[in-house]
Amino acid sequence: MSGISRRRFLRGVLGGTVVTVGLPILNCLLDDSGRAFAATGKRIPVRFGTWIWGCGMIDRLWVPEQEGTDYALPPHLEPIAPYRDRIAVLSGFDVVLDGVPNKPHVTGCLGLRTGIPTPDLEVKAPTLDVLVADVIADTRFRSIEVCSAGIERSYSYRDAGSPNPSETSPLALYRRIFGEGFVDPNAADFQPDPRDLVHKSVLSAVSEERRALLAAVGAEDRHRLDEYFTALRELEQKIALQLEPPAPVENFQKPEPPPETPVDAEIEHVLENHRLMAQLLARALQANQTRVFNVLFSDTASNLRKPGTSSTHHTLTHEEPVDPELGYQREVAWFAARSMEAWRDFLDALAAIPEGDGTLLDHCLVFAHSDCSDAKAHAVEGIPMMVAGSAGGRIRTRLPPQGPGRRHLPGGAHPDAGHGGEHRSLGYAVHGDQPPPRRAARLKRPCRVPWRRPEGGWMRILLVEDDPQLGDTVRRALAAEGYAVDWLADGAGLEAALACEAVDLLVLDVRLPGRSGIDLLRALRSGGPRIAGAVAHRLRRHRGQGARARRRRRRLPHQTLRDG
Amino acid sequence: MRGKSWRIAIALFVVLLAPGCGERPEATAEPSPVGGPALIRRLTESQYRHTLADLFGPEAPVVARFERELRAHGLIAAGTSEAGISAFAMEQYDAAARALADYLLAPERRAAYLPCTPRAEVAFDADCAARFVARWGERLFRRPLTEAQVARYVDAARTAAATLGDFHEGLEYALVGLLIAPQFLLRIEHVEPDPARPGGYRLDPWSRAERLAFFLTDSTPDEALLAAAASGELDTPEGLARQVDRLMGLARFEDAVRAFFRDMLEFDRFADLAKDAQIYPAWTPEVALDAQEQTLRDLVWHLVREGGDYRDLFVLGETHMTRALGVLYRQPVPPRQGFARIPLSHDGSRLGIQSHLSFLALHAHPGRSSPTLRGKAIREIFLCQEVPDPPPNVNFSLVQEGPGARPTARERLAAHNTEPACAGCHKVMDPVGLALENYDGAGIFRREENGAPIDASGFLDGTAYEDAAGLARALRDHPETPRCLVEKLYRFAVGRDTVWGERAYLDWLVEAFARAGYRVPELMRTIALSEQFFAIAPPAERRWAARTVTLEEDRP
Repeated sequence: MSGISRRRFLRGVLGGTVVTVGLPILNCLLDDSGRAFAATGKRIPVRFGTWIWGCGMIDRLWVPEQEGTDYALPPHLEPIAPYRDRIAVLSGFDVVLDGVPNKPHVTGCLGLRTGIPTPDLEVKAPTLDVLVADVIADTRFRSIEVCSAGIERSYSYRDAGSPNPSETSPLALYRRIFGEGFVDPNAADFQPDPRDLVHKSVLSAVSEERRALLAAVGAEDRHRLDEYFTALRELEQKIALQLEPPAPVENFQKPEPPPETPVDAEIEHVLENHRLMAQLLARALQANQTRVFNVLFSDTASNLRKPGTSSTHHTLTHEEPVDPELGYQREVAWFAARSMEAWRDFLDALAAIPEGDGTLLDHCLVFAHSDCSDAKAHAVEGIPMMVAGSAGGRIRTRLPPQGPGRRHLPGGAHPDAGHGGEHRSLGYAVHGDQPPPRRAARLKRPCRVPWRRPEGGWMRILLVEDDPQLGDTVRRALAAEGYAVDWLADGAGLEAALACEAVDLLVLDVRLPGRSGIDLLRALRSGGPRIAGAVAHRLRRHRGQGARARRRRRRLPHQTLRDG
Repeated sequence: MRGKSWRIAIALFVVLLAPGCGERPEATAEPSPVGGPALIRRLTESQYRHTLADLFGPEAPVVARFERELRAHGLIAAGTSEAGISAFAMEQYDAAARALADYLLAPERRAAYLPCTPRAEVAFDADCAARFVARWGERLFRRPLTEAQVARYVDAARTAAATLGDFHEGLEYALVGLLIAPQFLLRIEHVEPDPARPGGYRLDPWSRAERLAFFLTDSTPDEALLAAAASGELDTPEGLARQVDRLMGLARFEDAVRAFFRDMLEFDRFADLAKDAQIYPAWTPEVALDAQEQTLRDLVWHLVREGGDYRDLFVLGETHMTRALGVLYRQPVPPRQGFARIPLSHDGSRLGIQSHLSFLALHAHPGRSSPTLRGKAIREIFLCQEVPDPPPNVNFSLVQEGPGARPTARERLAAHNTEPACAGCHKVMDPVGLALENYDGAGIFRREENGAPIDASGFLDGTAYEDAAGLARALRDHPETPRCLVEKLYRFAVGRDTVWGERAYLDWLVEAFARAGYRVPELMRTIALSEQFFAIAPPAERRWAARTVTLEEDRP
C-alpha cells in the first residue's frame, strides 16, 4: 500500500520520468485534520521549511544500518538523538537525472527541489518551498531565506530569473523581521497606522497598470511582468496585515537584537550565526511573520573552512586522501559531523518554543537535504534527506516499520531495479520511529492539483517523444518559450503521469515504440475528459544541425586544444 | 621603465588623431540591420542609484539593500532582460521609495521639487498635483505619462491627502507609487515601424533615448535627451549624433565605462569573497574596495582620459594605488590618503589589469591561489572562450591540489594534463593560470612556494612565454582579445546575448574598432550610432515544424 505512495512521492520529487513534485507533502499540509489548538482558540498554523547542507555525507557514518523503528543511530546522526521520534531519515533515494548532465553541487539540489533536473541554475519549475508558500503563506513575509555561511544566495526560485536572496547577517535578519513594520502580536494598544492604509491604496493604484502593460508585450515578457505584479501583490497583502490587529501569540516575547557578528565561512562563525539566525527564525515563525523558510547552512559546494587552512570543506572532498585506517576522509568527515550538529541546533531552536500542547517543531515540517551523497564523486544517487516535525500531527515521520525498500546498496542494484523506467533507483530505506499511518488510504492517493499558477503564467506541457535528441530539443525549445515541460520517453508511464499531474497540453509523438500516439490518445480519451488539449505530431530530426549548433556554442578554437 | 616611452608616444599619437577620427569615412558600411527583440530590462543597482541622484540630487537617500544581480551570458547587463523581481527586492524598492519621498517632500525641501505652489496647505489642489505627477512621472518613466496614468496617480494623491489631512503627504504617496511602478523599475521597450526599412521595426524615440542614456551614462535620460525624443531630433542621423556626442561629453560617461568593466570583470563577486585572516593578514575589507577602485581608475584613466588602446590594458605598467594596497603590492605610496599614480612594481615585472589584486584575489581560493580558476577567468572574461564544467564523475584523487608532498601548484596539477578526462579543458586553463603563480591567493608577489622556485612559463593559444609579463603581452596580441571586448560591449549595450544573425554586424564592429585604434569610447559611439542598436526583429519564427494531426473526434 504505502509503498506505492512513497515510490510515487520520490519519483515525483526526484524523478524526471514522472514529475509530481512532492504532492503527498502538500496533501498533508492542506489536509485540515490538525488537532492542535492554541489556548487563544485559534488553530496553530503549519509551517514549512527546508534546511540545506552542502557536500553530502559519509555513507558509513550517516546511513542507518536497519530500517524501521528501532534503527541504531550511526555516528553522524547521534546529535539528533533527542529528536529521533520526530525525524524520518531517508537514505538510498536517487535524483533520477534522465540523461541531464550533472552539474556538480547544483543538479542534485535543484533537481530535488523542482522535480526536474537541469544542467545549470536555469530551473524549469518553481522550487518546492515556493509552491508551498503559494498555498499556506498569508503572513507578512512570503518566506524568509537565510544563509549562515556568508553567501547571499538561496536555492529558492519562483523562476530562473528570480531567485530569492538569503539574509547572511543575524543583525540584518533581526532588523528585517523585528524592525520597522513589525507589530507585536501581544501589544495591548493596537492602532492601525493611517499611513499604512494610504500606502496600500497607492500600491493598488500601481497594480491597475497591469492590464494595460500585459496587453502591450509578448508572452515571455508577460510572464516576467506577472512576476513583478505578484511581488507587488505580496507587498500589498503584507501591508494589509499591518492594518489588522494581530492574533495574540502565547509565550511570545520580542527577541533582543543579536550582536554584530563576523559574516564569513569560518566554521565557528558559521555555527554561531546559524544558531542566532535559527533562534530569530523560530521567533518569526512563532509570531506569524512567515510560514515558510529556507536555511542554507553551507553552500552546496560547501565553503566551510577552518581558520588558517588553505582548503575548504568542498576542496577537501576532492583533495584529501582516504585515511587507510578509517576508510574515509578524516577532515571531510569532521565537516560532515559539524553539519549534523548544526541541524541539531536548528531543531533545538524550533523545539525550544512551546506552542499548544507541544512545541513549534511539532507544527513545522522541515525538509533537510544535501546536494549529493558522496561529494568526491558528486554522486546524486543515495542523496541524503530528512523530514522533521509533524506538521501539526498531519504528517508522520512515522513511516512503516518495514518499508518495501531496501537499504541503499552502494554500487549494487536493488532487487526491484531493472524493470523499466519506473524503478530505476537503487533501492531505498526509510528510517522512522513511528507506527504505520492509520490513514494510509489518504496517503495512497497519488496527487492533487499542485499549485496555483500565476495568472497568465506558464502552461504545463507533457511531451511524449522516444527520440532522445529530438525530445530534448523540443523540451528545451518549449521551456525557452516559458512552458513547464515534462518529458516521457514512451507511452508506458503516460497514464500514471496524467493521474498525478494537471497537464494543460499533451504533445504526443505519432510513432512511439510499440504503439501509435493516436491510439494512445484515443485510449486516453475513452478514459474520460481529463485532457484539455492534445497534439499528435510527427517530428523529423535534421541531421547535422545539432552538431553545428553545439560547435557554435563552444567557442574554444580548435587550435587551442591542439596546442595543448 | 621599459616600454614607457613608446606607450606615451602612442598615447600622444592617438590623442592627436582623436579629433579627426569621428569624421573619417567608414571603410565599409554597416550591414543591413537584423534587429533583436524589444526587451524588458530591470534597472541595475548602479542605474537605479544614478537615476535617483540625477533626478533628486546626490544627497537623496537610497535606503535599500540590493540583492545580488543575475548574471547571464557572462554579463549582469544581459541578465537584466531575464531577471525578475523577487518579493525581497520589492520590499527593498518600497522601503527606498518611502524614505526618498519622505525626504524630498519634507517642509524644508519640498519647494525645490514642486512645480507649483498649492493654493492651500490642506485642501487638495488637483491642478498642482497633476503637474507634480506629470513632471516626475515623465522623468521616472522616461516618457510622458498618458492622461489616464496622471489621473491614476492624482487620485492616489487625493485619497492619501484626504486620509492624512495634508496635501503634501498626498503628493508624497503619489511619488512612492511612481518610484515602485513597473515603468520605473523595468525598462519596458516600445516598438514602432521603421520608416527606413518597410516591414522592419525599431524602438520608438523614448525607448531609443532610454537605450542611449543607460548605455552612455549608466543613468536615466536627461531633460535634453527627452526633449530630443519628443521633438523628433533622434529620428535624424545628425540629431542622433549630436545627442550621442553630448552624452559622451558628460561626466556620467565615465560612470558608464566603469559600469561596463565592473560588470565584465565580475566585481559583483567581491560581495562573497573571503580571505583567510591568518594566511593573508594584509587582506582587509578596505583592500578589497581599494583593489576594485584601482582597476576602475586605471581603466578610466587609460581608455577615456588618455584615449588609449584597449589592448594596452594588459601591459600597463602604471597604476593608481592607496597605501593599503601598497602593502600588498610591496610598493611605497607617498600620499597618506587617496590614490597616487605610481608604477605597478619596482622592476616592471607586473603588467596589466590581469595582474591587479582585483583579478588575482577574486579568482583564487580563500587560503591559496588557483591556476585553474585564474586560467578559466582569463579565457572567459578576456577572450570569451567558454570553458565547460568538469565532468561530474571525475576521480579527483588524482589531482593533489591541496598542500601535500608536492611543493608547487604545477606539480600538484600534473594529473590535469595526463588524465584524458581532465586534460581536454585543463590544458586550456592551467598553463594560463600557472603563469600567474608568482602571485599568491591574495595577489602578493612570491618567488617560491613551499621552498621550491615557481616556474611561470607556459603558452597561450600558440604563443609561448616565460612569466606573467609574457602572458600579458600574449594576451595583448591575442586576436580574440579585441573581438571579445566588442562582443561584450555590444551585449552590454543591448542587454542580451548576441545571436547568430548578428555576426556580420559584429565583424563590422570589430573592424571599426581596429580602425579606430582600439579606442573604447569610439567603439561605444559606433554602436550607439549604428542602425542595429535600435532595430527590432519581427516576431520570432518557429524553429521547427510540427504537423498537427486532428482526431476525427475533434472535428466539429
